[in-house]
Amino acid sequence: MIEMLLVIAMTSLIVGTVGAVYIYTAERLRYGYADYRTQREAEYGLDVVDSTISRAQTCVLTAANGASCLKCTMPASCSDNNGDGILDACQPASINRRSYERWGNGYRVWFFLSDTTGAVGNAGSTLWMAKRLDDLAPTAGDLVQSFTYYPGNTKLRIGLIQSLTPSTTSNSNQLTAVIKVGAYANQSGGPAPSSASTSTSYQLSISRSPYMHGWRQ
Amino acid sequence: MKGRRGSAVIFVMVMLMFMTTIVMAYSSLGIAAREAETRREQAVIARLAFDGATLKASYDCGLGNISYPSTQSVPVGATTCSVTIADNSASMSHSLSMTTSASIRGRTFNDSRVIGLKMPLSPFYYCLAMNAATNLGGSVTLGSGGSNGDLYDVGALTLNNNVTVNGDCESSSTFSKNSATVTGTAIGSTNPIPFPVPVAANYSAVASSSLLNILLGIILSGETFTTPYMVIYCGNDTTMSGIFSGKGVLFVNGNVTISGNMTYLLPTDEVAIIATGNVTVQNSNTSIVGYWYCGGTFTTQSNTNLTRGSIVTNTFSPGSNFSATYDPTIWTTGGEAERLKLPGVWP
Repeated sequence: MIEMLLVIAMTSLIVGTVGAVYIYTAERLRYGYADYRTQREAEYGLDVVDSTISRAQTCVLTAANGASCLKCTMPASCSDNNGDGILDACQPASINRRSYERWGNGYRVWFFLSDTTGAVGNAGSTLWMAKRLDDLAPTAGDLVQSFTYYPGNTKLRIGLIQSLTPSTTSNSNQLTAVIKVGAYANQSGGPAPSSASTSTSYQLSISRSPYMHGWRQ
Repeated sequence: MKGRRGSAVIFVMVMLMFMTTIVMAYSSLGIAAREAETRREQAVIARLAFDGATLKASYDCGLGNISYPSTQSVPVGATTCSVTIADNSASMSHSLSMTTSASIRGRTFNDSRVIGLKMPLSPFYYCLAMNAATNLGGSVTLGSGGSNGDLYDVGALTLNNNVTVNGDCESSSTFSKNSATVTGTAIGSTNPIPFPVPVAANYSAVASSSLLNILLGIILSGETFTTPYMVIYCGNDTTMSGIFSGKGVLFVNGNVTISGNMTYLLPTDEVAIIATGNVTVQNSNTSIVGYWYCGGTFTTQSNTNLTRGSIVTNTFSPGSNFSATYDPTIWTTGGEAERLKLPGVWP
């Protein structure tokens, strides 16, 4: 009888320990995955904003329909080379007598948060980019779908974003952009608001302060 | 009893298998994260290396240190870039096309861009450059068709209504455009381009011939430069006119008087005329050519036309109806300004 109880106890101990280790390992994996996704999306988000600001002639913080927006005036001749919607290749318009490139003014590129319609002023946590050739507020026709969604589907490129906050710096040709993202560390792995507990979600906030291209002229 | 122990062993083994799978997944996730971060870091390194390599290559081209089309190996820190350079001036004046590649730890990155042919700052890259505050009145037309008429002034610049500048207009001090026509960018408070001061001994040391006539002054009725970029040193005041052929330098240690028309024989001819004193166009309706440096005051009469060249002068006093068209050869050909021994660029 004692022998049997001893066996049951030892078996329970082993099973319980292994089970606990399994639960812990699975939980760490989910945290690791949430960590990876938040880092990847935050860095991608900052990469595209950084890339745009650093190629822009000027960037300003502005409001349209009550929504805070970042508006960048890009060089006159820019194109998207890899289909992600970002204007990542710009050519100068002329060269001046000091051998500096002159770029001219082209697209106004807007970044703002909205709902899934992309209407400026609507509350939401979908990051949109719009581009148009004048300074008027963007409309539905100006939205760059390939920036927000992966091509051919409705999967968001930056689905975990909570906020994108650009701000001015003491240098007039430099902006600081702060991006905040969050993901639940449970099996759904869905986007987590900033109010979510850090014991059940992974929160990440990173910033960068790029110079505008016009600074070099 | 044996059955229970067996169940426990199976359970433990299954759980261990699950955990092993999870640990492997975690490991893969970590490797993927590290790989993605490494790729990003390498892309940033490559981008910065491309910026540095293309900039260096464009300056080397502008100084004439390297010729193009060519492929150059340009080290930037620990990264070596292969830069293929081609002339892009057919599409855009004064520009180069550069295709660059770099391999960073086995991963190759590529870049393609158009960049300006970088040359050191010089007032000779403008059609007319002045060193003192200027009120440009009368009828002055620089360049045509929106080009070859760039204007620069170190001092305060005021344009009057009859001034037309086909190109940019810059002042390193205050700038008043009024109703003048400027087809390019018109800006004040630009970074100053120093007014060069030539050293006569440098030119006499390399001169192919030296002229001196203290009593009557030197008179040049045209000149043929038999050797490209040869220097003729004039030791005192000189009067000149006539046909100039070939590429060369006239250095005048004194004043210059232009007594009649000056022309080139061929479209490829280029003459740099460097006068330490004043330059005076003696008569109305005179055409002149050349890259002019004037250490004093450049004075013209009515209807003076610089048909091809540029004027860099301390002060400028134009008569009525002055026109000039810039010769872009030194601007579009790396090292040409140095070969013509233009002050500030040479020695």
